[in-house]
Amino acid sequence: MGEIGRSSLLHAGRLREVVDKLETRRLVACQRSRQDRRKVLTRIERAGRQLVDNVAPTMFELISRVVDPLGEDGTEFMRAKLRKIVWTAAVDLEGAFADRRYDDSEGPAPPPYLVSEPVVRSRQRPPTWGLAGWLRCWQWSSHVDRIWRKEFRHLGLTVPRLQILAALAGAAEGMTDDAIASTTGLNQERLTTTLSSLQQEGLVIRWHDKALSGTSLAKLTTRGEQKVLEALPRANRLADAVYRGLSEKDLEQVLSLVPKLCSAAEQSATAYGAGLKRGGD
Amino acid sequence: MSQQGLPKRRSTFRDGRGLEAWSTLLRFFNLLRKAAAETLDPVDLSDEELVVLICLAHTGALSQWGRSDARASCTRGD
Repeated sequence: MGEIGRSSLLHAGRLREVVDKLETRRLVACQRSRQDRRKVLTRIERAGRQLVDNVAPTMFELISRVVDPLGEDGTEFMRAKLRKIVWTAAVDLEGAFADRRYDDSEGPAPPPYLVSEPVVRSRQRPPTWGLAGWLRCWQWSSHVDRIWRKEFRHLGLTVPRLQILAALAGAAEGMTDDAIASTTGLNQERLTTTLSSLQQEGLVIRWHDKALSGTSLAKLTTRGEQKVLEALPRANRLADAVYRGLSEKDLEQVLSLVPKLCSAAEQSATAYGAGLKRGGD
Repeated sequence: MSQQGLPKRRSTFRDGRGLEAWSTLLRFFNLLRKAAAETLDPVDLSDEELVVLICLAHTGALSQWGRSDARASCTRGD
């Protein structure tokens, strides 16, 4: 899998697709190793570096917006705990990277970029701070995704399916599509597809409320409720796995900060979406 | 798998708390990806592509500091 796989936590097949696409755009260049023809070395090209440099200020602004509600101390706390979570994930994943044909090192070790990160206050944040923040969030997301794919697939629950079922579990009277979209953060297309599939399987019923100008509503069927109950023990166990590297006290604090990140991310998504549409007009 | 150095704690997640934690976390990732997608759309870059470029740029920086052989590598299954 190699360094890129370790850093990005991208699945090998997906990583290959992404690298191929970047190579087509001449943002990276690949060549086979002379020592081991199965190994492909990849380096970033000048155009790729330029693109990263160009994107850095925007990512800086995005990450700043998202962490702003946490304040400086909250941001540093979250950064430190994310490091711990991702490091724990990296240790867990050593099995996946255990093909020693491609490894010089022995045994699990935290990736070099995780070993030392000085505390960075907002006044002295370097230009690459946003990219680092984005990478860290990405690694966290990949860690969660990996656990998900390994464990929740047995219940026939993809991420959006469980998100929708969980949202509807707290709404006995049903929810509008807009309310579900807001609660889950799913885009409209994914939401509609997933709701249709859940409806076809008899886990959700949907109807149009004439009193609400024909607004589409959805709620769980009895089978849907049972599905949620079935998922609860696994969800509890896996939530523990996601935050396994944290102490009880740190975990409570992280759990209290994530909703703040959610609100800020929602505002950012709305703001950037509106800005883009205005720019496109 | 090494378990050394990890704090031991009782299970924090009971009843519906685990599902709630999952839902909140997944919502955050969805929203962050949405915001990033809006940001990266003008340069025709996906979030995954950006992550790979960041990783490669990071390794390239090491190269400038004298580790000329420190090119990032990935292996493709033949």
